[in-house]
Amino acid sequence: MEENNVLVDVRDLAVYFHIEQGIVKAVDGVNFKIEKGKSLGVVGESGCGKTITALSLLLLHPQPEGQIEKGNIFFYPDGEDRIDIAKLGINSKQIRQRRGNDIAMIFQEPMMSLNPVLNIGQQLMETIRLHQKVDKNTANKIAVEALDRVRISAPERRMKEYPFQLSGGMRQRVMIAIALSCNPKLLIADEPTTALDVTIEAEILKLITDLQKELGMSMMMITHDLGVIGEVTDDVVVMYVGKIVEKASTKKLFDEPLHPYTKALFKSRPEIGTQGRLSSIKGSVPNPYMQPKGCSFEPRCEVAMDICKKKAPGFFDLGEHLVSCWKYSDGEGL
Amino acid sequence: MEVKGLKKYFPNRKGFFNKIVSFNKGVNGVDFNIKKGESVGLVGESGSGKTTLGRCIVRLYEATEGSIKFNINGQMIDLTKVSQREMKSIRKHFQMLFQDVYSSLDSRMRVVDIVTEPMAIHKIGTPKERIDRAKELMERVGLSANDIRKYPHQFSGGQRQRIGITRALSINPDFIVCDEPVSALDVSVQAQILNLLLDLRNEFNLSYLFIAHDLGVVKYISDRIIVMYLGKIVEIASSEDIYENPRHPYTEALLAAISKYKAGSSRDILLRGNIPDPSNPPSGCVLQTRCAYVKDICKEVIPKLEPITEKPNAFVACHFHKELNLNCYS
Amino acid sequence: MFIIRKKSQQNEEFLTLSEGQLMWRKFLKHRVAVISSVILIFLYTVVIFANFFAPYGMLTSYKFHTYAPPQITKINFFDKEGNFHIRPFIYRQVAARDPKTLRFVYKDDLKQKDYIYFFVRGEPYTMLGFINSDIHFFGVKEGSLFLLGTDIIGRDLLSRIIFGGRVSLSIGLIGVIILLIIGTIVGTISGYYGGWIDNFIQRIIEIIRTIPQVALWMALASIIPKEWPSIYVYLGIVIIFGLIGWAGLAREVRGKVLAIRRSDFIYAAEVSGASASRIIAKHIIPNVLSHIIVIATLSIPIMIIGEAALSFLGLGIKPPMTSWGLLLTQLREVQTLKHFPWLISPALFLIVSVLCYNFIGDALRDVNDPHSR
Repeated sequence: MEENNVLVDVRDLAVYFHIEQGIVKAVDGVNFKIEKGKSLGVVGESGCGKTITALSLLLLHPQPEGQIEKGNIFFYPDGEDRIDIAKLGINSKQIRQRRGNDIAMIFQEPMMSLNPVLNIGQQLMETIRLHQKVDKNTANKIAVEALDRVRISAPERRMKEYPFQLSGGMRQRVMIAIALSCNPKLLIADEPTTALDVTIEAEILKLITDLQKELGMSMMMITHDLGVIGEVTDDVVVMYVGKIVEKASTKKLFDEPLHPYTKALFKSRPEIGTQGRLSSIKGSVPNPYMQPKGCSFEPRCEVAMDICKKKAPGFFDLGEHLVSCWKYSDGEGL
Repeated sequence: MEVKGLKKYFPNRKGFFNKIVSFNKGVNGVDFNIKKGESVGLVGESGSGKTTLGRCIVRLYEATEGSIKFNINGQMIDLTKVSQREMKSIRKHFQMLFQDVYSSLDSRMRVVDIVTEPMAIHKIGTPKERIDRAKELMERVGLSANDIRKYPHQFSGGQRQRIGITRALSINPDFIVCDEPVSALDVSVQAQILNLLLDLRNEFNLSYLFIAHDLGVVKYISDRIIVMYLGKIVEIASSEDIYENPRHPYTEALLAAISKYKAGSSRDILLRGNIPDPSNPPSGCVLQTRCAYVKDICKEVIPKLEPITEKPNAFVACHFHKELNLNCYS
Repeated sequence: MFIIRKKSQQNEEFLTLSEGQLMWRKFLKHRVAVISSVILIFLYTVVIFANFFAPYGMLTSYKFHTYAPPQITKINFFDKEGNFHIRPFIYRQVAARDPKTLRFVYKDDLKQKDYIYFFVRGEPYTMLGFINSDIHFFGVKEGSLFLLGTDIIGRDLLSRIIFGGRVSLSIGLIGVIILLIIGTIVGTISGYYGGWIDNFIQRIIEIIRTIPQVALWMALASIIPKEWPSIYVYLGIVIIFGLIGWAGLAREVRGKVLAIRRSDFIYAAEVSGASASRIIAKHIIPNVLSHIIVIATLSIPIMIIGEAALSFLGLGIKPPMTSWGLLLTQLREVQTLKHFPWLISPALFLIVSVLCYNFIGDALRDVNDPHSR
């Protein structure tokens, strides 16, 4: 990857939660890059830290319990010097300039993310007028265009409607419209289709990928659904309890998943054509009070070795395919 | 069990006097049956009425019209005609699993009280016997009996669903309505719970009505599958058949919308527009506003649910099911 | 996610606590509320055992000590010569008539020291109907000790306040219990059954609530026959409070019941065949209980002040019973306050108890609110 192709470069990011019972290492040293115009998938199950990672890019992680303990979030806006988001003040002017403007986010539950007492037009125009110095009429035009771009029919009429009058799929489109209204460089999508019916999901995913290409935007797609990853992303990282366990291009990951957890994720999906029992991962996500010294996946791993209990593996590079597992230690150690 | 002509309408009220202005036709005329020991999947998207149907069958909702006949000790009893008092003893024969693992357990009760409650209601056994049975069942579903005095918030999502399963099994029902029990769980946990449900069905000779919106999940656990849209059944067929030979355009669209799990793949979108308002369903076929194959007759005449001649116990409601050659997208 | 273990055993035990126990721990973190609770417990103990704690009887008057000023500021450990005495004492207060106004004027007799003793013998009494004794918590062996002064006929104000506290502090409590029972039952039925029952009950509640509470109190209080003995009047007031106040609680309870009525765990109980009474008793009320307690705790001070207002206006408690509100009727004229300012001490007690209840109620509300976790 060439340096000037990179939009976001996250280095050794750690986000810890300081709560009464102790410290929760929600994100524990992750490294990844998002390239301009490309989309990165972050896949993992609940509790792996993928949402917190995404929120921390906008400094929206829960405070004051959550703190960025270390690491950098380098952001390379066009024509400006790189900035380290991790070093910006929470709710400072600088980060607020970026939110909604350079980096936008859409969430899982559209009903919760839209204000139920404001109509669609008001919510769209709020974002537009926050970042662009335009008068009301121009903002209105931009808003209607944004609704049209997400393929909502009769956009002028929709401007006056309220969220409860729209279906789930339509609300999600409105969320996307709000997110894209200021032409961001990066769109973070946190499980945007999990709450939608599968037929609507197909439409929304198509919409997102079309818009991404049209606007030349980068995307970070967070999901637990490998199917979505396959359709929408160019590169992917797999997370497990706060750490990245595998990183590769989507094609490479689907062709040959390496980490035992990734393999298990692929196998436990009940696909059409599965015969016999579903394979599941034994055990469950570790009890927060047990702190394995070695690899965090070892208690559930079918192919665990002795060293897995004792030492946490680093990353091994098998040709642009990084995996954090001792089984691949004959590759280069990083 | 045998369901005929089941309808459930929810009144929409407006105005100062709460006058009824229209009805939300959640379930709009449904017929099907389930054999003993059979596991039937019920698939549909939001607004299809599948959850409403599940709740009507166990009389959580009172049906507006129709009959629900259930085989109790050899006799077919129509649940819609039974009084509330008689219902109580009938309720020993069926149970329900819920989707939301957080709200389906009373957070102020300990596990022991939650899972012994059905037995307490029907006065089965002494309190000590109930606790013993609860412990036995907990171990069977994969929980530790030592956790019996804990509170729900101390368990993960998958474990909470297991507590729900323990509660359901405690009174030895014949039939369980599973209302999307795995939709809210992680994929790896889904697999565990689905395996467990299958094992339990074989061990205790249970019948299931398994409600879901995900065809992949339903195929694994069902012998037959019912597909619903906007309050009506559009197709019933065996699990194999639904996937290899769909007869209804909606089934085809659902199959097309399933992800391929391949890098760079995409899904065909066969339905246009949005699901209509259930208070104002279209006259004629329910799918007409979105169907890719719609013709004039579809807008006027409601297609009846007809048996598919070559297949036993299979039905479809489409004027053109013989002519259409639908893609199974596998 | 990993947690760095601070105290592993404590954590395990922490999680096994029920929600009730967790809330108790949270409550203990509100220092003001804890202090308020201690104060209230102290006040209630004192007024329950009033005969013991009060130095004098409720009605005992000393005609040569009318309008005596408070002696609480005159407790000394050092005498005029500078000697230290472990036991506190006061100089005896002697009354002399002022030749011009013919009122009593009080001076301290420096030759006479009256030591203050604890568990001292004094007026005999029968406490709570069966404990006969004459031992008082504190007092002087000879002479008199009027810590908060006396009133127009020479009755010790502190003792009257302690006895009056019995009425003031109990009316709120008993009234709220009546209100709680009625309000919870009505609210739960309204919320659980819905339909026309709900409609009907809600309309009644609205009618009750449109009538101004104080005016309603006054109207009902004036219906109480003047011939009734004090104790009946007291009970009448309590019942009136309970009967009017339940409407607000019923509405709150109904709201909470509606919120959980369609939860899955209620459906699960219905599917299992639970009767409505079982569901209400075992599922709905426990989940609504903490909310109810908050409302109840915040209703008590309203009733305390209500009683004080009614009694002050002459519509409440009658003599020989006394309450803090009734004690304040002595201050109907401003001049009384100007000349004998200590007569306002019952108001201080009122303020303190009302504040304590409010602090506790606020803390309970915080503890109960899931969003503040």
